Amino acid sequence: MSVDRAPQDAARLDRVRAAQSGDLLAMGELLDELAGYVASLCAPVALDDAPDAAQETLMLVFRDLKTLREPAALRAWVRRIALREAVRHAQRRRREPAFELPDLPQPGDAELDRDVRAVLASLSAEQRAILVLRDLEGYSESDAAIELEVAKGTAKSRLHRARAAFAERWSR
Amino acid sequence: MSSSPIQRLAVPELDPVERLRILAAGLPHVALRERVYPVAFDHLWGFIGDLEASAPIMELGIRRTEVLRRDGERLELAAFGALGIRSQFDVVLRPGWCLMQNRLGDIGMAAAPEGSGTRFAHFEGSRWLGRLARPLFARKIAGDLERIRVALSG
Repeated sequence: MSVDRAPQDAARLDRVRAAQSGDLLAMGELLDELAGYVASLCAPVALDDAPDAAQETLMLVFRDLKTLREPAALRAWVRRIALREAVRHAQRRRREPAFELPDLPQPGDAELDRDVRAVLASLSAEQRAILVLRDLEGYSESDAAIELEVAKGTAKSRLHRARAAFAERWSR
Repeated sequence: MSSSPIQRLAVPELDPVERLRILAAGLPHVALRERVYPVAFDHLWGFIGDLEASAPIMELGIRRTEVLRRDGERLELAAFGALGIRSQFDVVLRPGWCLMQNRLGDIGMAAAPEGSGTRFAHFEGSRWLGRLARPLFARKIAGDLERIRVALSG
């Protein structure tokens, strides 16, 4: 169902198993591998709260790593936790009164980054989550709907709304 | 996969101290403590990262340490105690990040700039003694952190 871009080679699976057994250096390597991936999932969904969402995701992952039965399913498991935590953080922020865009210098193209953040902030966390699955993870609409436990039509309309928001921003 | 604007979004990275807290969450036998020192990151890590010099100062039970082998970030480190007892550690060492393990236990250290100073995090624990020994390690680490303060101010 999911698209896993990491190679499922034997060495990688051995590392996951070693980390599950409590090997500190293997855990460190696994954290190196997962930190950027989790951050890239949380950033478009949780926006300003992405660092908190990423840290809490990884804490849950490493706390519960021993419960993962199939090491090959690691990324799908991590992805599910990351999106759940990112949506949870974003929803908590939505309940707070003001939503201010960050005024921090960003690496890369600052203007583009600001524009992307502005559009993302106008969407719901659920719409951002499906955008991540579709545009970052390469899911089909059907698979994204299954992953997020919503009807296919709901996934389709959320994606349409998200895409329309970006198209409107860049057609001005 | 077609190009999407969100693929261009800047992604904030976790700093080494945040990463060390994550590993500690997965190691129920370790105790973690943190302290902010009023020195620059390079000053702090210049001391900590030289394990042959810093370990005997930080750790009361260690007289001498010796790097046996170095391969990039990977080291094998021998530590000699007061009675000449030798223990060997597998180590990962890079700026702001140090993990050490042997068959008895785990040690982690990390540093990240904070304001005009540097936040330092340190965990330690014994796999044999388990979580019951965490309070003992928490007290020991408090002593380690104080010895670091003295060494940095000296």
